[in-house]
Amino acid sequence: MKWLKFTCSLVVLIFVVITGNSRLPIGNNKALPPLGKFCDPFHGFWANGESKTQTTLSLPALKDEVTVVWDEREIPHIFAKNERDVSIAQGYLTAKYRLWQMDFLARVASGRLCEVVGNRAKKLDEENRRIGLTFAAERTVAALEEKAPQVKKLLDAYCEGVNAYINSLSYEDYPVECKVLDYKPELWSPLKTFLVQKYMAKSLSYRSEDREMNNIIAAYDRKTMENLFPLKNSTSPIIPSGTEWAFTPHGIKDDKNARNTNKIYDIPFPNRPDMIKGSNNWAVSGKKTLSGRPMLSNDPHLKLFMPAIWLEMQLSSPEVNVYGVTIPGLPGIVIGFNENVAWGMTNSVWDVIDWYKIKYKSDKKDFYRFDDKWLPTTKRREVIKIRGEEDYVFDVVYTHHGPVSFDEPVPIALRWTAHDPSLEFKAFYILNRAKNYDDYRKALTYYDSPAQNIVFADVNGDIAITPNGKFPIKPDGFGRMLEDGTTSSTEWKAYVPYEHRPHIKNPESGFVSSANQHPTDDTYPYYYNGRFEYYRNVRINERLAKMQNITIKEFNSLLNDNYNVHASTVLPTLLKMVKGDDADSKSAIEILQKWDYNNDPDKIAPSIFYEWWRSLVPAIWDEFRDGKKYTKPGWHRTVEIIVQDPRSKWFDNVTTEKQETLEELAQNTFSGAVKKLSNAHGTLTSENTKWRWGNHRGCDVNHLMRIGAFSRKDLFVGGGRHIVNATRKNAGPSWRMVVELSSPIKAWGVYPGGQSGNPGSKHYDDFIGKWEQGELYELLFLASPQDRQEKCVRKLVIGAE
Amino acid sequence: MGNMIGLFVVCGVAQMFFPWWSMAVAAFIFGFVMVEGKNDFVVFAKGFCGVALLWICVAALQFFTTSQIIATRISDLFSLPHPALCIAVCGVVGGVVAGIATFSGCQLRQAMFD
Repeated sequence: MKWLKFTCSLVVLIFVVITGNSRLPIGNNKALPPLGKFCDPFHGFWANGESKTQTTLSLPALKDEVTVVWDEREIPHIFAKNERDVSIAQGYLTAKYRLWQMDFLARVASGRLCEVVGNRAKKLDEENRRIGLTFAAERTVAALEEKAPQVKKLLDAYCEGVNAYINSLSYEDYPVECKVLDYKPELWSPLKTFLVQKYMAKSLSYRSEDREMNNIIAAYDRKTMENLFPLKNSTSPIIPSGTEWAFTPHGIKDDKNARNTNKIYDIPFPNRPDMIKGSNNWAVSGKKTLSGRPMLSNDPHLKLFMPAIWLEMQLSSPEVNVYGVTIPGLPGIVIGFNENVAWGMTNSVWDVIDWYKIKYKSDKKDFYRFDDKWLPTTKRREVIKIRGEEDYVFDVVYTHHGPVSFDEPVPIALRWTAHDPSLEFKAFYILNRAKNYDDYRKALTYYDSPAQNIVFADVNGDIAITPNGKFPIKPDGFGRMLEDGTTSSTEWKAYVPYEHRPHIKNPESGFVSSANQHPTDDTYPYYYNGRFEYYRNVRINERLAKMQNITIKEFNSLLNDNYNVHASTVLPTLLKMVKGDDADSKSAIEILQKWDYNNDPDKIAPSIFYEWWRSLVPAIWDEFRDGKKYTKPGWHRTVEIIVQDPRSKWFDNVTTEKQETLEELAQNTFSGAVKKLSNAHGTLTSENTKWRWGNHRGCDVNHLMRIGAFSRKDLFVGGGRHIVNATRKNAGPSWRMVVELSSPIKAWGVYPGGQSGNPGSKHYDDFIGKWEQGELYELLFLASPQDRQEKCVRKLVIGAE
Repeated sequence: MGNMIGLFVVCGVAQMFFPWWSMAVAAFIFGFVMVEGKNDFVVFAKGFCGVALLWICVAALQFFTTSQIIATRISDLFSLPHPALCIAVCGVVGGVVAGIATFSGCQLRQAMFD
């Protein structure tokens, strides 16, 4: 009996200990963290508080001592005696701040998220494997190894630093997300660095509407498609109109017969190019500034996440002294400045993706047709290990075009510049060390993908901008829909030579700028397409043209400019079409009439206009309601039709017998929008703060895993889509930077987040308030570890032994 | 009472060097060596209180020194109305495991010797 009692209690004990050490499924694909392990006050989440200040550290990989100085904002300033040691220290500190984020990004890109979160990431994992992100990363590692071994060695050093940190960890030091999900962070590698880079390439350049254009042509005709999605109506291009092109373009023979299409493809095609991502950058010459020195500004607009996308650092050795931000996992500085130059990036939306229909010889998919031959395919076995389930195994077929990303209803191969071996890291290596304009131009020759508009200014007084990347030369109109993959006549055959890429240095206007608009006007000899910006660029160029005696104040005011150019072009026309039918809609009209078109957070008008426009657009483009087949024309084209062609057939709702007019659509959607707002926020009065833009829309910076408790929500900010201050509900200026190329250099910046990736640290989100206010920190660019000691809070000498 | 303080110290030392379940091993041995097994509930309660107290004290110490922010976020994650409740929840989790371990250890001794 006693033994029985003991046995029973022992069984219960073992059960409880095992349970306390494992995740508990709670249904709906969710699980609780292992309770005993997680709650343990010695090693569980309690150990993820503020980190203790490290007073000694040694990294055997170092050649010499490295000194790190931290300023008040937790920015590390790394001073080493050689550039390899800089990389090691950068890797170590990046991992210390952002290990979980790095691990997560590399997992996402390689399609291995299911391993830690279970089958809810299956779709994403499958997509990232089918579009070949790992394939792309592998080729890039090989290219760097072969063509830039010196840069590869620095990357290896960076990985050594990251791994030195990871190897020093025991369970209690793991990032809290690893404890919540109960997994161990993996060692880092050069491949993972490139996976992070390909994650960014996907996020910035994997955008394509070829299927949608194809379907619109099939449903209407090519003329209609070209009319609704015009390519050549740029507003204020990056390279000013009238610039002459001093080169003879390479010609391309066009085989139009190979480009006929008439079939609707109702397939789960890739993500729509989400217009969330954009960016602004500009530089002005010394003749426009108070100091007489050039100034440069950049604010990349990305989906906002916690931990923040960017990590801020200063890296210094006899070879380099650079300050700026990088993405955790990428060595060096991506956007920043050194003692001589400053640079910034905006995304180029120049289309660098095409889709080719593939014809297999048989169901085995071993051969595919190309000209008069059957070429062999290669297959890549993909095994998605899903936590708690069986592995999901499939093959991705590769052709010389690229991976066949979609099999149904027709096999389609992806041709994408991000798959090609490239040397962006060499470009960054040179940019980080650049001394002048020539170095900048040299650096860009190595930069292929994702294409960026790279702005530049230096202490010699030069400013410049280059829309840069690997751009295929295509015949007019090519690549806007699915192409025939069975013939060489539709292939990309050549790329715009570097010297022919749009570029401008020291223009007479005294400034250069970009905001994702057309890189050139219609006179540029090479054909290109993309969904370009029409509004932010106009506002930026207008304001820059007027500005004189510029200081940081003027630049920051432009960064925070809330003027809604789009509303200003369409609202006067729309307002004439509506009447108020109750108290709220009467007040709403009055508010809109008095609006100065600024999307300021404390104004009500932007909330009304936003909701109105949001319901008007789908009402107009009801023809393209089916988002699986079609996409809607852009705002700029929609406004053109509203203002110039108010009797257009597009205003009719095709599902009703009646002939609708623009006036009816405007009135209905206006009443609907006001009603929606009244229902949500109550009666419209100037005291009812819920109607205000900063409250109605606001901004949420969500945690990467969308863990609400690790997010910062309801920030009271203005701005909006197609506005210079491009803040949106979940996206916006992810880093704002201004640099004055004086001696010494002055710089300012802020990003929404904080240096630490640990939700238990006060440095997790300590920049958010400043960002929300639209203010900038003065950046501390140190000449030596002894410089400006009053601004520094601690110092660590990392030993080499 | 003295027993419980013994358990508190032994488990505390074990957990400084070993993972969380080391306290279950310690509580088992403690139950085997130290606890009289007259009343099952008292045996369980001794183990429970010793480790619950340990976990509460250490968690509270963490809370008031470095871990207030993380405890606040975790309590938010699990919809606990107040961050201090995190401390109590952890105490219960540790206490239950230790209570069962102590009970189990005590049963082994009784089976072997009584």
